[in-house]
Amino acid sequence: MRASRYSRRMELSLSVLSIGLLVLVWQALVYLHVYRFAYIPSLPQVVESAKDYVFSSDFVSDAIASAIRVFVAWIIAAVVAIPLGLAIGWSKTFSDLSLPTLELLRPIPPIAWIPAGILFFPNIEGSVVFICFIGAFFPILLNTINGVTQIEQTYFRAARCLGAGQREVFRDVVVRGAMPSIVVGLALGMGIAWMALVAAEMIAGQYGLGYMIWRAYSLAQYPLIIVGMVAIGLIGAGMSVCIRLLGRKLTPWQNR
Amino acid sequence: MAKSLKGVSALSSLAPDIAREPPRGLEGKLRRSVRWWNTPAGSVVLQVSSLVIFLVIWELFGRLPRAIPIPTPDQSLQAGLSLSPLGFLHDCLLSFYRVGLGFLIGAIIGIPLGVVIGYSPLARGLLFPAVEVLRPVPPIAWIPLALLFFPNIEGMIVFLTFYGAFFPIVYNTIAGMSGIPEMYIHAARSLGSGSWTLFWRIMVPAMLPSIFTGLHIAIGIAWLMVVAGEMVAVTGGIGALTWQAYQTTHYPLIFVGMAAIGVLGYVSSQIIRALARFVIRWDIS
Amino acid sequence: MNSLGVTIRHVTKKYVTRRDGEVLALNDCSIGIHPEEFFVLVGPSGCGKTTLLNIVAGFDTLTSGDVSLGNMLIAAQGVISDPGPDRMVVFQHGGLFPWMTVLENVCYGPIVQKQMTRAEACNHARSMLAGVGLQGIEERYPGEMSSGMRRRVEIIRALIGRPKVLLMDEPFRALDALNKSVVQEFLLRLFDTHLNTIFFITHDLREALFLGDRVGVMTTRPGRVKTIIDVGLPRPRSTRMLDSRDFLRLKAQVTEEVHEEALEAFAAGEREAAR
Repeated sequence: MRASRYSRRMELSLSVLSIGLLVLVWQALVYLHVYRFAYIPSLPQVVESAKDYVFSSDFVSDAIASAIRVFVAWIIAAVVAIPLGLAIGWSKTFSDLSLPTLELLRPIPPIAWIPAGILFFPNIEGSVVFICFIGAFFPILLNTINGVTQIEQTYFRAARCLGAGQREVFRDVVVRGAMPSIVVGLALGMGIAWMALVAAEMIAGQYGLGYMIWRAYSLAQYPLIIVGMVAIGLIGAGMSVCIRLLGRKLTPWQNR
Repeated sequence: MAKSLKGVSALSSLAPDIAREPPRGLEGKLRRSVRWWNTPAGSVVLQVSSLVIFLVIWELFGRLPRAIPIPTPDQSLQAGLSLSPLGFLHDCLLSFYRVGLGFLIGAIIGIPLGVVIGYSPLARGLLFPAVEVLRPVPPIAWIPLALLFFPNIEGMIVFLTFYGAFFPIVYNTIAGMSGIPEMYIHAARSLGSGSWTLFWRIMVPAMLPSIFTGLHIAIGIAWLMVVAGEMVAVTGGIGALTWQAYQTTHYPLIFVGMAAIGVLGYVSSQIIRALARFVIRWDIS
Repeated sequence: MNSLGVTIRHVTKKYVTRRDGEVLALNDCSIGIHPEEFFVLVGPSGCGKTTLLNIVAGFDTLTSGDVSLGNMLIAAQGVISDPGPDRMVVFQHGGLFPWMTVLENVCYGPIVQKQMTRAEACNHARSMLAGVGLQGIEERYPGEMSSGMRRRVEIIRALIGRPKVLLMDEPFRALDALNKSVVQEFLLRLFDTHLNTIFFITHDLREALFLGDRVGVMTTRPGRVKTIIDVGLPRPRSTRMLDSRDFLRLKAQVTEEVHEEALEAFAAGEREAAR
């Protein structure tokens, strides 16, 4: 609303100040034993814990395990949801046949699928990947459908006038026109899949970062919890950035 | 004023043979024959059959030979009907209450915070980076820490819900603030309004659509958090019911729980939508 | 020159809306467009010009009457032929594909119709663009260009496939005055060299008289072609003609015709609003 009156340097120093304040408040609350903050680990404890963990092989295997699961689930979700979404957006008949069921299942959050997931896939890997798949599937699907339906009629007409048949219209107008929305859906799907992963690992996992946090809690290695949280946050953010970069490659006309 | 030279029957200016002859034969083709499934009635039939197909596939899955069979729709229905209505209602309401409480706290803290951050560059510089740094950590990851901190499970769950609702609300409020067209502000100022009226009469209404978008997203995430929290710390509520169904091998109940969660989630977002429609009695877009 | 004429014969169009019931959009329209003629249709907003163009293009059906392209019937009662390259359209709000570069847009028609290979089409497109002074923009996306430039590219895209008739639906409506005159002249130069049949719709009288060989005036809804005026100004046209006495006389004449219709349209709108 108001253009920032501050220069970059000012903004940067304010950011540092802001985060510093946060850390300061955290430390103060812990050291002063305010309420139950005594139970919260302090910054030095966390740093100490981080040094041990991050350079251990456990961290790498946990992080990789989590990342692979999310990635596989996301890819499967994309492979299923994008064609499905394109078909639903393209053909009313297909939409009538598939959408009601999907709309029925959509309000059920991925976390609610956990018990069902364990039931379907007695092995841990399968159930965790399944939950992440559910998490990624619906955003990708919905955004793909939206991407198709928001394409202006003019472009379809222009393509027909230029001599394009159904297949060319699908390939050159529908798929390419929906691409920006699809990319948004992919990014969103990754974010939700990541959240679902942490939940699934925590509740039903055997390894991975989510499980690691839970184990740290049950083994009273409290500083490790925070280390794990930071790791989860960073890796999640990293994956989002990757998806966004991928998105730019797919939609070059939007960036210029 | 002389009228046109040729008049309406411009056909006379054509080559004579075309003007005299009747249309030569149907060389165009019928583009869209109206098939039964394209009619409105046919559409409804297809949609209903979609649900039927879903139930059939579910039933088939239930009949797969497995170590632990998947419950069929029929079994799930039976399980649902065998629940004590009062107990079930209690669970639903408990979850609903937790969602509502956390959500409300999130809104009460989040909206003013978003407004302040959006309004004042100083506040933005001071507060926003701290919020941004916390954001990437998914609310679920806070569960162990929250368990540590809160003496009772209720507090933990409500905190989780609050946390999940907080970020979308703040971010969408900020977006709402920055999205107010400068024009509105200038117009109001030139009409002589003071800062207080400016805020309440102009800026707040302009922000409301964004705020409600944030609320809408937040309620969805709040539900997620409640269900997650209840599954981890099994203390009543519909999430706990679903998890316990698995633990106690009453598998058909899982689907009942899932359905209930879905319905409740849907109802709560409809409530937000209705509230939005009520509060925003105009269309800004 | 493979342009054909368009014969629109007693075309009537009715459609049913939920709000107003049965609406008569076009009522017995007849126009004969000669081959290689630039025909402009003017009329007040909502009179059905776009509906008529959509019928000719193949986007919409008609209720009665028929339309022929040359000798070939393209629309009749209950029958329609698919839109195609012989009746290429230039759209009001811009029909260039935003996700393709200029070159890809212009090449699209010939490639998809398998008239040329990709290489041939690219070369042809490049030379056409260069021929009208649009070289150097081939790798740009439509979003990066001004609206005037987008329009010109769209016209080139339309012409590269050598359509039998070019249908233009208020294509310059959204342009500002400066861009508009530039693109108008652009179109006139192309018309002089390519001599396609053009069916052009606009509500701008000046534009109609500046561009067209003949101008048809449409009544308000239900639309009917009220009069057809011969412009008779020599080609090539130039903006200097806009001040000539002949032009001003024509303009006054057409203005009077359209004005009646505009008043009628306004009154009809009031009646509807009052309902």
